[in-house]
Amino acid sequence: MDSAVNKRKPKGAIAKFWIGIGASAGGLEALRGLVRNLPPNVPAAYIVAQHMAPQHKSMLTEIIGRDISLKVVDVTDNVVPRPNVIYITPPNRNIIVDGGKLRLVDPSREPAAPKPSVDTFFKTLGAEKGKYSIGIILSGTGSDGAIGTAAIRAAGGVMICQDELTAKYSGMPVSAMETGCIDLVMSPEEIGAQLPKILKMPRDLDALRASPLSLDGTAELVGLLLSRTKVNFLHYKTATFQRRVERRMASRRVETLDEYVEIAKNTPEEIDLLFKELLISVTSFFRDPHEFDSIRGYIAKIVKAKKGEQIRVWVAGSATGQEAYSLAMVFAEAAQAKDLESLRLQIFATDIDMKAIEVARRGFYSHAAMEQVPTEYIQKYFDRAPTGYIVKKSLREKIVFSYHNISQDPPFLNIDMISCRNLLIYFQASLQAEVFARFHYSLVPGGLLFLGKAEAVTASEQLFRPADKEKHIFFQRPSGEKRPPREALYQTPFNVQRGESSKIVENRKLELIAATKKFDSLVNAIGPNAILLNADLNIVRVFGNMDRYAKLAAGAVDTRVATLLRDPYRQDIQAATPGVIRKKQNYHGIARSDKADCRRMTRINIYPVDAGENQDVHALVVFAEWHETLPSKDIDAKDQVAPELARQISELGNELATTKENLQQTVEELETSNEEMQALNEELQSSNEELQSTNEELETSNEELQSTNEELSTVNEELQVNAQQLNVVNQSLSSILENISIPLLVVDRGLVITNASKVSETYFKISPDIALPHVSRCRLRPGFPDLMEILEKAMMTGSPCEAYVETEEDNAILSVVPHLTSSGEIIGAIVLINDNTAALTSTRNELQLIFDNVPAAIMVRDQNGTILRANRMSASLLESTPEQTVGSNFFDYFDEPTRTEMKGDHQALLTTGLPQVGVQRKLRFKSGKEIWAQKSLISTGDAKRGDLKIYSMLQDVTEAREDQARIAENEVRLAQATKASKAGVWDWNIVSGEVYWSPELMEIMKIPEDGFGGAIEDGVASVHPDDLERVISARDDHLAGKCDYNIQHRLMRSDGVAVWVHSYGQAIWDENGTAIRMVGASRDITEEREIQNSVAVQKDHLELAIALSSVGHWEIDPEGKIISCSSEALKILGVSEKDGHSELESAYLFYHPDDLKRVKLSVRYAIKTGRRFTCEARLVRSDGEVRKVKSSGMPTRDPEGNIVGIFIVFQDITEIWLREEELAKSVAELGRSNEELNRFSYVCSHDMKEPVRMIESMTELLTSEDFEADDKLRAELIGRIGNNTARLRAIIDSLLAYSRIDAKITRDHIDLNDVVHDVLGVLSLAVKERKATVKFGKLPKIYGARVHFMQIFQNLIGNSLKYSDKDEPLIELTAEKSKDGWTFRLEDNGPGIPEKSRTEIFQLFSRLERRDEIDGTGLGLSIVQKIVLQYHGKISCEASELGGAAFVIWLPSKEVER
Amino acid sequence: MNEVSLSDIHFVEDSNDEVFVSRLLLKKQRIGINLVHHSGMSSFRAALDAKPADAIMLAFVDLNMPAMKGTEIIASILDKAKDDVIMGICSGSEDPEDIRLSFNAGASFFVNKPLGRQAIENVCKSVSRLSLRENADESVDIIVRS
Repeated sequence: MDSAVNKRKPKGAIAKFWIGIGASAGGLEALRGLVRNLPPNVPAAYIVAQHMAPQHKSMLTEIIGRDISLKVVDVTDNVVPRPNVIYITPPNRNIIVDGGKLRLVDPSREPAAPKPSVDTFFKTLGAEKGKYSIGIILSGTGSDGAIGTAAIRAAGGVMICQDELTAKYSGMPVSAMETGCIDLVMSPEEIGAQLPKILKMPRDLDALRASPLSLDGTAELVGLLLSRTKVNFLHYKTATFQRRVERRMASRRVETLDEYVEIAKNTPEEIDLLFKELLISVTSFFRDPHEFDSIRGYIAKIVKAKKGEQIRVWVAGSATGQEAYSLAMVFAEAAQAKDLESLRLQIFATDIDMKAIEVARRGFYSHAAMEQVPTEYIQKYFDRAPTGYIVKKSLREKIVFSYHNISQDPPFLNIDMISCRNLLIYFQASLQAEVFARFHYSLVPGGLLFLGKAEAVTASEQLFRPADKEKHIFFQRPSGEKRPPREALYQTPFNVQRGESSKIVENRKLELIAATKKFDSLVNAIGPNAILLNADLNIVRVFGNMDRYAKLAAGAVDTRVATLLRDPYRQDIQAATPGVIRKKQNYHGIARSDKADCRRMTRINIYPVDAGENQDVHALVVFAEWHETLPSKDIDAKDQVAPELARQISELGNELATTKENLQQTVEELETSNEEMQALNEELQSSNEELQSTNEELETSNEELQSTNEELSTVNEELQVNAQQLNVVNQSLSSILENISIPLLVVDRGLVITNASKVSETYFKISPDIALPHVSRCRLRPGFPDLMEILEKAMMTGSPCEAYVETEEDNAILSVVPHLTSSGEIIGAIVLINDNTAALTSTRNELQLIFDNVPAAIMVRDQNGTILRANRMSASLLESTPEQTVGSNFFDYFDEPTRTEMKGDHQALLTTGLPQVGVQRKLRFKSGKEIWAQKSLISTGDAKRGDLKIYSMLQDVTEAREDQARIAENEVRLAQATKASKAGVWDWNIVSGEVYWSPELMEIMKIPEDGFGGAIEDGVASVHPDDLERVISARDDHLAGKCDYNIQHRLMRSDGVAVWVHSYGQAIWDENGTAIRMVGASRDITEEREIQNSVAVQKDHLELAIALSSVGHWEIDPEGKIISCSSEALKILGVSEKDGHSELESAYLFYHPDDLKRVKLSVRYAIKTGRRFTCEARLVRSDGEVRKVKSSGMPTRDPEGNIVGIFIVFQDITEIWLREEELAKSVAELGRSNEELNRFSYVCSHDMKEPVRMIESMTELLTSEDFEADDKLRAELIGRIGNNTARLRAIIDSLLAYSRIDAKITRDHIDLNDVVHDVLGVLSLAVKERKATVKFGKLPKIYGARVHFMQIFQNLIGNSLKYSDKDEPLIELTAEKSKDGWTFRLEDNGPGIPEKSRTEIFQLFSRLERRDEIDGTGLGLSIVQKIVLQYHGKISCEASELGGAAFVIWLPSKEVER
Repeated sequence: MNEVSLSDIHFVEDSNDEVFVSRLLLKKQRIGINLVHHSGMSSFRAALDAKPADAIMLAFVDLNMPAMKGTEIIASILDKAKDDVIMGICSGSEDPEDIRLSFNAGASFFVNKPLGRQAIENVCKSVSRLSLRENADESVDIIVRS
């Protein structure tokens, strides 16, 4: 490859600047960001030293080379760097600069040293290139490059390093910065963009530092997108971004980015399209099924842990919602909820693509989209729609779809699970880190993170720990302090949540402080001096005083045990702590004596500190101290006693020292091994990142390919359609060329014939055997122009060319048309030959035939009138022979006046040259013959040239003129007749289809003169649609000779109004019986029809009214003969039509004899006086039924006023009559009742008021102060008041009894004997006092109310006893059955009742005696009468044979017998 | 013109209570007159027959009575009586029909019961020949002019 570069570049083109790039973990991403922004043509070469695993086959060259146009090559030994080439150091090699060349050397033997070593490279680079050396430190752990940085700066070069924010690992950049030798700190993209400025000499680094990011095209696009969509794509992967931009550029057909940026600046719609392009919405249900199978278990755990509490899930980058719905289904299944409503699940599904969100909200998916959804889920969670499925509303309600920018908007809080799949692959590492921080902040402690297939939390392992790394499922690592999202801090504050959040944080802090204090106390109790270590053996916390155990070295503070603690504690701790953490078992070290104070002992105890399920295990190292209490004298004594023991101790001490040394060596080796392992780990991590990046890239490409594939499918379909259309067009073209009768050639620009019609092969004499012949092979007949010349002219000018060929044999037009593409480019020409020769010959022959046979005289004359040619008709007209005619002078055939006139016409034609056509002249020949002729004169040629010819045509129109005169006369007559009849005439020429409408018809149709089309279709269209079928049928029948054409129908006027016309028509048939014409007239009968309709309607109404009112009518003539009789009249009379009477006298027989005279008088009165009459009379029907009718008659008169009849209407008013009679009865009854009521009220008021008034007066007297009365008088007054009160009460009781009579009382069979016995029982005291005798015979059993008859007999017997003036009253009661009822008679021997009072006594309050004499209310007999009336009976009073009064009661059987 | 004080008034009435109350009332109102009670037509006719030829008689007749109505009594009396008998109805009824029938029968007045000073004052208003005169001892006489 290097040789290729050398070949391409001229010798001596050595890069002026050598730019060394050092990178380690996270360097790949940074490196790609840098190289993408490198300037295209600068005098600099780039040498990359990227830490890599020694055995790993690096793909770095390919990966880098994929993104950019610069050459990327692997470094080979001894290569001289060329400008604008990127050199990649291969694995397991160090690179140095030596003698103006790059050299590859074996890496350091130090196992811990990274390969290639950046320090080594930079040191040699600085030394070799001096001020032309530039070093760049990118992401990486460790401190490699820091020493090299200082070396380059010392040599006068420039040092740049990646900023911390964008660096995935900041170890190397920070170490470099700590040297104080870094000139510029930027993001990789900025470094790339700023290099041209950096390379300029003299270098103004300060200005460079202050300058903003160079706005190259991509950056400008990012800015435009941000300003329009509020979405910042700055941290999106540059390659992805650029690819999408390139797609848009291809769509817009622009080649450079600058052009595209210009378009984007001026076209907001383009920004929208680019934005849409960048949103790669690729998703599906249960995407990656294995991952989904794995997540089910974790979701089940979440559901179980929440125990019915609200579960909050965040699906970031939800696109069209399938992911969110898939998770919702999994949660629903895990919860095994009876119904979705009870499932407490809230899913926030977010995206920045509003259109995708709209799709997601609708929840409608096609059949194809449902492939991955299990059938049972479809049945359970989806509703079927015509073309797919709709997510059930209950499931949709669990998900809130909303716009949310994951990198800008505040994250959701207290989330149990986040699903963010295949979104992070589009982000740069820096943005990925920020997003992970946000996710960490958003999730509850231990919350679940579900990532895409190519995504991992490699850069944020401190925030997440793997749950199932292969399936990309992670747990959030709980940490004491969550870092709020950076940008969220200056976003719109989230008041409510922030309040709650800060409260929770406050509580947590308090809890933490409390826990910390407890922990401190515990540690203090175990041993005051202790340290807390994490798994990396970093000191997290120190307890007590560590002066004795720790040392602080100069330089940066390092909290590692390895550097901070003193020996031998360091070794013990380093050796034991990993085991303690791993096994979670305590460790107790050996006791050690202090060098200074041998009795001061120290032991290291290490305890595992398990902070919980999701926390790393820490180790608490306690330095337990104590003083040995053994006195020294004892030791001395022992020494004295056991010198052997002392020796052994000494030996053991020596052995221990040796062991310690060995151990120390082992520890050091282990450290070295560790460092080596760490370096190896870094290299592996770098390789892993490389692979991860490749994987991400592949996934991104895969998604883009999916998107592209869809587009390609669409394009393919379009192409197929186009191909199909093209095929059809080709077939059409072939068919045209095969069948067209015109010679046609299509030639290309090289005048090669590409297409030719079949006939052209013959016409141009082209051999069909030659494929694509040149146009020069065409053979044209004489007289034709040069085809090639005319073709070249047409193609040169771009305009059509024509040539007319007129020879003896040929008459043709040769046309050449340039063949243009849609863009206007000339790609050839088309040759067309329109050959008229045959047509011309044919026309000539036809003309000769016409000339010979036309029934008109056609002559060709010269300017003097000499006849040059003449047909037979000319000779006939001129009364000559054809031979004599030719050569004779035309004018000589006429008399003088005609000749003069004809010469005048002749001269006028010669003078003006204007043709004279159709001029009619009366010609008089010399022979005296006179005719009317229609003359036409046309001249050709020129008199000066001597070729002037006059064509003359004469036609005898004498008969035609006479016919015309007759026709005109007839037309005048017809017009007058038409005008008089108000009818329009129409004439239909059936052969031509033309229709004539007369002005009258146009007037009827309200059509202007030129408004009628004149075709039969126009005429048909004017017929009302409802009548059209009938009209056509009538017309066709007439044309077929079946019937006359006489029809009434509607026409639609031009103003849309329908008019009724009466049309008559007559067809004309030819000799074959074919109708050739039809003439007719249409008369507007709209008004007539309206009148007829009105009359018909009125008649209908009248008949309806007659039917409804039961009114009959009949008419008689003055002689009494019945003219007409309506069916209703017959119905009233009760006879059928056949039984009707034709004579008045016989009709009179129907009238009731009592009314007949009156009826006759009324009829006679009407006939005599001519006035109307009204009378009511009874009719006796044949069945004997009497009906009453009301008759009204009116004489009818003839136009002279003579009475010609009587029109009589009569109405059956029987029902009315009966009702009126009934009403009269009711009125009378009501009057009587009213009178009774009046009387009742009167007597009530009078007789009741009287005792009241008496009581009132007497009471007033008693209470009056000036009333002088003694006790006796007062007592009397009081007594009288009491009497009146009793009387009033008796009246009220009687009235109540009276009023109750009307009440409905149940009737039954009663034995009147028993009733009378009971009555006598009641009256027994009075009977006894009066010594009365009461006799009664056998009384009947009747049907009635017992109380009624008790009242009757009690009142009557009581009255007899009360009013009797005998010492021994006698009372007799008898009963007698009559035909229609029972008669009861009660008699006494009392004073009797005067005859005049025998009726009056039954009235209310009627008394015959003064109250002072006999006490009574005057209601007793009224009550008796009212009861009797209730039974529809009668009561009367008469003189008794016993000497007193007799009351006779009759009760009808129908009432009292059941 | 002679003016004399009436010593008696006649009251044809079937109710003893009415007569009893009227008497007590006239006494209480110091009407210096004697109330002559007739329970029926026979008694009243006897009194008419017994009346001196030039004496003027003032009679109050009840309207509703068992055997003969007040209007009938007036009608029967007036056929034969002259100006010296002034008769009218004294009734508890206020029915306009009763009043009309009474005047049609020939009654000179129609007053409402009880028969006391108020009724007599109303009679005096109806009959121009009659008037009341109050005496020094606060008693009241009925004066008739002839």
